[in-house]
Amino acid sequence: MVAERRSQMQIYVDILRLIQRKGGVAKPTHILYGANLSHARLNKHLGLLLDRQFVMQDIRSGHMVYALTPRGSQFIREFKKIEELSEAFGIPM
Amino acid sequence: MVENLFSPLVPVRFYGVDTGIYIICALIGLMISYQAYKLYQISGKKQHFYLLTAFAILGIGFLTLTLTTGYTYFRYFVQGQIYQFDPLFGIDDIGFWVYFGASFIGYMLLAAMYTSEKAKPLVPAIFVTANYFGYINIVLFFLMAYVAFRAAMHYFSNKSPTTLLVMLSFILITLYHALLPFAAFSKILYVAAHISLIAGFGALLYMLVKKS
Repeated sequence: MVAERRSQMQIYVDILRLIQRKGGVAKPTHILYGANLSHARLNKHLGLLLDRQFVMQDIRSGHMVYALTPRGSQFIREFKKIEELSEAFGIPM
Repeated sequence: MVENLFSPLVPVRFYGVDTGIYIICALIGLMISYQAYKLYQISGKKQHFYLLTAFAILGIGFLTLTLTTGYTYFRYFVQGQIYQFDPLFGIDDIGFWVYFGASFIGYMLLAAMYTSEKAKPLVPAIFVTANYFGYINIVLFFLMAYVAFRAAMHYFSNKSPTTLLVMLSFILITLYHALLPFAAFSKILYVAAHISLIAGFGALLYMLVKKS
């Protein structure tokens, strides 16, 4: 069976949810494996999430990490609501 | 004694109640359209566009019906007269025509939403006759029955409370169109149809409230 291609929006949400599951902070390598993306594509998506202030870069124990911002958390909540609406009508996101 | 204004369809005690039902349906329809608009802004999917447009058009249809039937009742109760262009065609008929047109387009969009992008849209024939009320409701019944069937298929593969509410809502709106053509035989069916309609839109409202 061929897996459906994820939309750009779904990739952003997957990355944000992954960081949230890791306690709000995740290393780039964890995001890379968790989100199942190439290095180049991950950088592109993270760049956009940084621009929109959904995540921020930080240094923890000498390692560069990405942390979820309150704006990012709010986006995940909002996305969940509209995802449920879409799902209720039988339209996949 | 109050003369039966819409004889033989509307029971006298139901005068104005149907207008109240239409405004509630209009507001719920527009609320769903607004939520679907937010959905479309994020996803950019054609199906979400169909959803938002379908409910916006349905909402406008119900608003028109609210205004025209409300005006007719107002003229009747306050001024004691009915505004008719001729003995067979009144201002409320314009409202019904706009509403039927809006419903037809709205349900077509809902059907298109459930049809795969490759498939051609469903185009049923439109019956335009003097007895439009019954015929158009039959067309709308079949359109909405398809939408309800697809929503039911989705519910049985998913079984979540929100999909159950959407399925129930579409079934109740289908029932509304199924009952209306028979309102000429019994006024109670006119009331039952409207109860079914408000229950259908109520289910959609409950779904919106439940998810937020």
